[in-house]
Amino acid sequence: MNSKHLLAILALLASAATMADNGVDWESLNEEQQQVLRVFADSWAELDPERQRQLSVGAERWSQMSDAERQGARQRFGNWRKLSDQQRDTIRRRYQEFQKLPPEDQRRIRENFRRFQEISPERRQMLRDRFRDLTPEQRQRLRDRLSDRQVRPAATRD
Amino acid sequence: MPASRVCIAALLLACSQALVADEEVPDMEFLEYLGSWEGSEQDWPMFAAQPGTRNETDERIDPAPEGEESTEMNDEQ
Repeated sequence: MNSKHLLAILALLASAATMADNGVDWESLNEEQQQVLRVFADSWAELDPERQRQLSVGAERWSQMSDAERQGARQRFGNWRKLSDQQRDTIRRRYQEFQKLPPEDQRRIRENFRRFQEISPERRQMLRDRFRDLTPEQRQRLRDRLSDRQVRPAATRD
Repeated sequence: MPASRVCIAALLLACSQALVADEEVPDMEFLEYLGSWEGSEQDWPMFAAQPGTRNETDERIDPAPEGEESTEMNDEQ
């Protein structure tokens, strides 16, 4: 998703936020959103404001996605549907905390996750088991070393 | 090319485009899911609640705890 798309989404969210109490007027949707939401056009006015907001944001995001991004989103949605309400609540809570982090920390966490996903499932399980065997102090030292490694490039380390 | 064949071809093309368009339109539940996230929905797999949670494709969706992957790096040093 490039900066232009992000700005468009942010502008949409900002306008949506101001209309949260009164919902989202169908006429305020852009052409692409209306195209995505066309099956709901007749019943749009009867939807509650929060649902209108989520649908309008979802439609905007969908319209800006590439085919590959859409495929990934569908796959993640399929996984999301399999989660229990409790799992979803926990994920939402962690996600909100993540959103509060500085962009650099978010970038680091995403990169760590991406690297972890690239290794084999067996290796991942072995790493998890090894990590769980560490004491809390050992875990914290590991995290500190990892943070330090991110701050100082390898070439400058001792 | 006879005009009738052109018309049939155009009609078939229009129908196929309509079918493709319908296939591309996501349902309400999915759109609400997309719109329910403050940022990108791509990030939530990092916070899946239970380690070892697996879906039908046997793909793990749980993340590495912070710092866990560095044991991999230590092995290679």
